[in-house]
Amino acid sequence: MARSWSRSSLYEWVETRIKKVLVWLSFVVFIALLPLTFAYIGQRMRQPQPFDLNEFLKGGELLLVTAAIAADSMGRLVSGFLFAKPARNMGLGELLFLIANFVLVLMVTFEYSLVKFSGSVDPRSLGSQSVGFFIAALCIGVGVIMLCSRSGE
Amino acid sequence: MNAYTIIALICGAIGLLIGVASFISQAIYIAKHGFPPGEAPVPKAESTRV
Repeated sequence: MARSWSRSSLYEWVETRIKKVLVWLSFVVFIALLPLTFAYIGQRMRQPQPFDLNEFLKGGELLLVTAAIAADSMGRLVSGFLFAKPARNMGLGELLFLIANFVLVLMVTFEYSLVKFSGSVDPRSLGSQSVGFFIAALCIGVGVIMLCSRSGE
Repeated sequence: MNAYTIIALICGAIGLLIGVASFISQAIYIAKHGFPPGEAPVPKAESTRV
């Protein structure tokens, strides 16, 4: 039986997915981090002191960036099955993604409101906590692009 | 690392795991059965500019 695909088209398919992840990382993530990067460079130029992650992120700025990245993933996920051709229902993987992303956004929102209004978050751990949330949002984002690749998103 | 961070990282790990597993299973499916209708890469069109 003749194959309806060539090996090169499969490689092309894989290459396209990897390129999509790289484009997402370089544009969405890098550009979302640009204000923080410039603030960091400016701070280091004015006060060349040892870098303290918790002091730098004490306002919860990275939490906002995390929420923006998680929102982007959620939008990609929903539009991935909403505008899929041919039309299909949401799969179990997508549902799990949506729940995981929603839990992450809820935690980020809760944490940011604690930082801003009650100040009950330990400033010594806020930096590492923000980085943890950020890594989780990155993982979900990469996973969403890999998952939604079949819809032509 | 507190409980919030651990829950967030678990969510992230689940996301990454599902995404990569889905990607690999799609690649295996394509390798075995070919592209589903409408999903094959479209060859780049020849330029018609004169």
